[in-house]
Amino acid sequence: MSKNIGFFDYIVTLLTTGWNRSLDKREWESILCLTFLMAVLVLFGGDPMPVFCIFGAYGALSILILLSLTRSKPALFHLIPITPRRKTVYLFLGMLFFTIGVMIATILVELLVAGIICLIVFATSGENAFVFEEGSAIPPIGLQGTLFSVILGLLFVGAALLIATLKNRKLRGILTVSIWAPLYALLQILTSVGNIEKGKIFLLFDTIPHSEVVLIVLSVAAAAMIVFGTVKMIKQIKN
Amino acid sequence: MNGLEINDLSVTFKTFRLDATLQVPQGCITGLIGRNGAGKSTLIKAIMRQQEEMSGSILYDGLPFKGNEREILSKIACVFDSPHFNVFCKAEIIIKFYRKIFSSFDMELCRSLMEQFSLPLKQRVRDYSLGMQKKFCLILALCQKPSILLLDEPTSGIDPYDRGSIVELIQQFMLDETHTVLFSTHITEDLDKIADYIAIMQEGKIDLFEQKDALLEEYRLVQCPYLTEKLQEEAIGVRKSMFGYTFLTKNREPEGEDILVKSPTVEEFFIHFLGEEEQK
Repeated sequence: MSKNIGFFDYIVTLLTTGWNRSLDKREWESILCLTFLMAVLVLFGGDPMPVFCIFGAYGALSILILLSLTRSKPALFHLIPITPRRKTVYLFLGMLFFTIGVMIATILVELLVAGIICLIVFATSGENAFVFEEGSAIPPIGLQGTLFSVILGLLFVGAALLIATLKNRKLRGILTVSIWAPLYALLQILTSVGNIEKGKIFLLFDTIPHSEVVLIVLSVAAAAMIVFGTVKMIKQIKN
Repeated sequence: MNGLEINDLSVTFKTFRLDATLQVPQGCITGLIGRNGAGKSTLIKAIMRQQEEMSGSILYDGLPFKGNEREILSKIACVFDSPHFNVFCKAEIIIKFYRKIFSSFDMELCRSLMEQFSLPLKQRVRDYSLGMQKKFCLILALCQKPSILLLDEPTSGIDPYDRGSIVELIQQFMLDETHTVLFSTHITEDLDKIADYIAIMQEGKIDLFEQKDALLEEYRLVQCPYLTEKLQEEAIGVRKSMFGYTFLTKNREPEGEDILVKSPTVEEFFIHFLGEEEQK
C-alpha cells in the first residue's frame, strides 16, 4: 500500500495541480477582485482595520481559494491515497498556513511599495520621506473596539466557510465579492461622510447605543456561521 | 471475483440521470461503448469518486470505499477524457508529483515509456499534442502499478501506429490475472482486438453486458438487396442504404438470394443493436 503523503507535498500538489480547470471564470474573477480589494485596502486605505479583523479577512481569502481548488473534479489531489481524516486535517492546517503566508507576503509587498515611493520622493524632491510624522499613530480602539474587530474577523471566516461550501458556482462567485465590497464601501463612506480620521473608525463603535448587545448578537452569528460552515466543509472534504 | 461491482449507482444532473449496475470481472478487459452523452464518462468519474452527489455501492476488488479509501486509491488508476492535472506544468514536474503521491510508482517503466513514445520531459503538457497528452496520461496511470485501470477514450486522437502500441501496453498490463480494465471508447476496433466483455450504455443505463466472443458468435450480420417477409421477421436493427439492407440476426444460416452473411464486428453489432433499441 502507498505510504502516507506528507502535509507539505499534499498542499503543494493541491496548489500546483489544482489550477487546471478547477476554478471557473466567475470564481477566478471573484478571487482576483477580492485580492485587488485587499491590496487597495492595505496599500491605500490607511489603517482602517485592526489586526484581528485583517487576520480574519486573510483567513477568509485562503478558505475561499483552497476550498475552490478542492471543488475541482477530476483533479490529481482527489486521487491521492489518503484517509479522509488526514485530508481534513491537512486542509485545515493548509488554510492556517496559507493565511499567515498571504499576510506576510502582503506586508512585504506593502513595505516594498512604501520603500519605492519613499525612494522616488527622495530622488525627486530630496525630502526624506523615511521619517514618520509624529502623532500619526493609530489611536487605541478600546476593549469594545478590539472585540468588535475580532468578531468582524470571525464573521469574515464564517461567511467564507459558508460561501465556499455553496453548490451553486454563480452564487459562490457573487457572494465572494460581496463579502468585501460592502465593507470597503462602508469604511470609505464612514471616513469621508463622517469626516473621521482613518484608523479611528472602530472608536465609532463605542458611540453606538447598546453596543454590548450588538457585540453579543454578532458573536453568536459568527459562532453559528463558523460551526455550521465547518461541519458542512468537513462533510464535503470527506466525500 | 469481480474487479468492480457496481450496484444501483445513481448520479443525477439537471437533464441526465445515471442509473447503473455492472459487474466488471477481474482478469478481463471490459469495453464500455455507447453514444455521446450515454453516461460513460460519468460512470467512470463516479467509480473514481469524482462525482459530488452519488448513491449506490461500488466494491473495488471486493472492498467498499468507505473505510478503505487509502487502499483503494492506491490500487486504482484512471485515464480521464482530458488531463486531470495542471497542464501548464512540465511533464517532469507532474511525474515528480506522481512519485511523491504513489509510492509504488515505477520510475524505470515511466522513463522507458516516455522514451518509447518520444514524449519530451522538459516540455509543458499543454504544449503536447492531443495524442501526446493521452499517451502521457496512460503512462502515468500504468506506472502507478494499479490493479484496476479505468480508461476513458484513451485512444481517441491517436494515430493508428501509436494506438497499436497503447493496445499492446494494455494487453501487457493484463498479463497479471488479478488486474481489471474498464475501457470506454468510440474506437470499437480496439475492442475487437482486446476486449473480453462488452457493455453497452444508453441513456445512463447499462443496456447489455456480455462476453464479446459469445456475443459476436451468437449473431450474424446480413447484407441483402431486398427484405423478404422471413428475413424481416428475424432481422434486428435493420438499416437501409442505397445498396440494400443490413441487419443482425440470430439465425446462423439465413435464407435468401444474393445475401451476404458474416460475423459482425463490435462496431457493426453496436450500430444495429442501438438501431433496434431506438426502433422499440
